[in-house]
Amino acid sequence: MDIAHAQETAKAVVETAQAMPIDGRVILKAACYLSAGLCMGIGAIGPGVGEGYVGGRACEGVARQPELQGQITRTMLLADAIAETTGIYSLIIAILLLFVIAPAI
Amino acid sequence: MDSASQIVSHSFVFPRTDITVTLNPQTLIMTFFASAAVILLGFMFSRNLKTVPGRCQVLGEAIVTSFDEMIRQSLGEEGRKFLPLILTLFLFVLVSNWMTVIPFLRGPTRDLNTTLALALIVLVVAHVSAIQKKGFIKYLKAYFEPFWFMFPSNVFSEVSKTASHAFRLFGNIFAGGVVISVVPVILLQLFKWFGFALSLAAMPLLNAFFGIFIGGVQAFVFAMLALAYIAVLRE
Repeated sequence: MDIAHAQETAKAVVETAQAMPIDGRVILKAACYLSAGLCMGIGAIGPGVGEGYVGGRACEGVARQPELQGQITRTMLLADAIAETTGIYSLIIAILLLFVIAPAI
Repeated sequence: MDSASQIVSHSFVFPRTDITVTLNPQTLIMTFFASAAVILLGFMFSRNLKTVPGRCQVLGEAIVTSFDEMIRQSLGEEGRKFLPLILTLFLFVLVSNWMTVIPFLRGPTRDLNTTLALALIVLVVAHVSAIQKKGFIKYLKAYFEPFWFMFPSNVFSEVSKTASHAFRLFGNIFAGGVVISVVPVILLQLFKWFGFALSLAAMPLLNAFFGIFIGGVQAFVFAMLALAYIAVLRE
């Protein structure tokens, strides 16, 4: 992306923003999109930490007892799925915000 | 984004009532295809069995034996009556997850209704089998453990179990579909002349990861969690 192209884009954005009347509806919509992003970003921290911990511990277990690899991998997948639950909840909220609430405003 | 958010549905209002039923034809049709594929798989696995197995028989035997072993570990010998249910759940979810890889097709698991129905099946089976095994009094008593005032939170945990069971599968498949449909467009917009080649290269990779890998893992996880929920209630 070269500088002239970026300047053109910025100019177009500014012109659109000036032509657009800003009322409460626009602000609400913007808040919807913003909070969907925040919801996913903050909500993904917990599952990330949890799944990383589970994966690391599973690696340790396999290193200690390589003959139990199949069972350890199965248990790890299940634990990952459980750790993922809160992330999935925040994903549902983000989906609701994006596809249900924002179009209704 | 449009193709991901667009929901094709038809609403029917029952005459003389206020009940509205919304049908999603694509989900219905794809569910029929997935069921047909699962039936076909079962037919292929079990047709002309030999002592020296062919390719289909080896695959079928591997799947059935591994699931049989897992069920025996967690439910014991009497839990083997759940093998058909767990195996059917696994195969159906696997087939419908892998359908998403084909362009312009939306597998049944991209719809919350399908996953919620599957989770409700597991819920009913788990509770009925628990009542059958332990008797109604003992089954009710489990809700008042460890203290009697824990009853509301125990009930809530049962409900949230089913909800998270359904949402997990739906969320994973839906988010994968959104990423598959969004990332090539972003690459196309972001890079000028090699964006097209980049997005063309990204599409099969994204499909392989989110469709095949995540789909397979989630199908396995769905079946295993169903098994775990049944086992927890029965013990």
